[in-house]
Amino acid sequence: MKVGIIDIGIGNLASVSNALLKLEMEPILCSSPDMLKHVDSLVLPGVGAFPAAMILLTSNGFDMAIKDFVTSGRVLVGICLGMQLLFSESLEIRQTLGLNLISGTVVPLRDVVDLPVPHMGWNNVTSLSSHFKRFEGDYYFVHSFYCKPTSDKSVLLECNYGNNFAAAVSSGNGVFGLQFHPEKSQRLGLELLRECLESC
Amino acid sequence: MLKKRLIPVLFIKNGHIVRSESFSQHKIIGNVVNEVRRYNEWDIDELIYIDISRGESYDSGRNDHNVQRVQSIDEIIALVAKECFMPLTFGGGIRSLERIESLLKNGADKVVVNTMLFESPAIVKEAVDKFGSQAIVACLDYRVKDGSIRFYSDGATKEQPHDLNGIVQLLKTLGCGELFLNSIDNDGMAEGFDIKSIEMISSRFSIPVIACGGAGSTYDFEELNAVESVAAIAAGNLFHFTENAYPRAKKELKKRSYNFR
Repeated sequence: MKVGIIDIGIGNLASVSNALLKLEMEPILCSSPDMLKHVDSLVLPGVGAFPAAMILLTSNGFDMAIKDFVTSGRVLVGICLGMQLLFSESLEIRQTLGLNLISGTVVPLRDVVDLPVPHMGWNNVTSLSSHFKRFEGDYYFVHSFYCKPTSDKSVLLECNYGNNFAAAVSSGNGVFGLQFHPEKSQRLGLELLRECLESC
Repeated sequence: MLKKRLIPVLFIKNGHIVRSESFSQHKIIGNVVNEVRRYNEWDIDELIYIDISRGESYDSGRNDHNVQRVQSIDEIIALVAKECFMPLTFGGGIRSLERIESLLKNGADKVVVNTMLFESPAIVKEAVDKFGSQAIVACLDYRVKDGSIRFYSDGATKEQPHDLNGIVQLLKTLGCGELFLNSIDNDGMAEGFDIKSIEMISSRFSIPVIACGGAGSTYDFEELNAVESVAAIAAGNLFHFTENAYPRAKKELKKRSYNFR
């Protein structure tokens, strides 16, 4: 399976690429939107700030290309900031519109949690979907913001850090968002990544 | 619930894994690539590499280990990142933004800086802004002298003028996302952690603190586990010398219902 990795110059692309190789998939770094035509599924990784990432995505036409990709029925997996970018909007730094593939808002952890931020380390998740029961366990998280989907139905896995939040979401039409880093979460993370990428 | 992390630290000197004692005596104990395979089997939480090489030679050269030769620290990272699906942290001898960028690009998730905190704080700040606070770990090598805590740079050879308040302020200004706290005097002694100082220092920070230096047995982990302000426990030598020390330590800690993965 050819898996595109969106390369807008942010994030640890090598980690995602190594994880895909371990899963015996073929990672393809996509530095331009037309490269999405040639891949079977797509990963949107990301580390950094939401507004800057959205500017990078829109300025070179990736935003439209990603939406077309999803419409074509292929799988898209957003990881960490990549998950947050799938949502309608984020309140990080300033209110910024996202890709709006999943309805909801990205909000600061600091507003709801009286614990150290970023939420960094291994935390366990529980499944809200019977299909994802076998993916309950510990995953590696590093984030200061979290996603609040409009509908609880889109939440697959839930985590608790001061309060419950969405650790994994799905739009139901092949769009997945993972707040933790599956590529850094040992075997369970890799298996979950495979499950998402092969779900169509 | 967020788990406490148990982290093996590997000291690399000129391409070899070495045992460290008081920051000065180093004995070659293994090969970088072989160690990676072992840690992968142990399903560890995270791996920290500290490069303590002097000079530019990284050749791991020992053909008796029957693995490929490792020429540079970047090559080591790239090799490790292909095999390890856990957070990887690298430190030692980092002096520039370019170096940080290169390490992150080759597969490191975080880099550890020590001397830069004091010699070039503006570059540390720039790195935090560019790569995010989660990518920059501040390392504090300390020693208790005449009852007060002193901080050191340049491989524990240079005492810095900052007191604890000054250090707290410095790291806050720089925005480092994590703190790696290492006791110079306890390093390699296997006589237990310096609980008192670790508690005193770590409780002053709101960022996660990784405490290191002195682990000799699982009992030492239990003792440090009681310090609430410590997010992660690190050890070097202990994990290299005792067979299956890591999985056994984890098992012991979990048996006592401590909060580990």
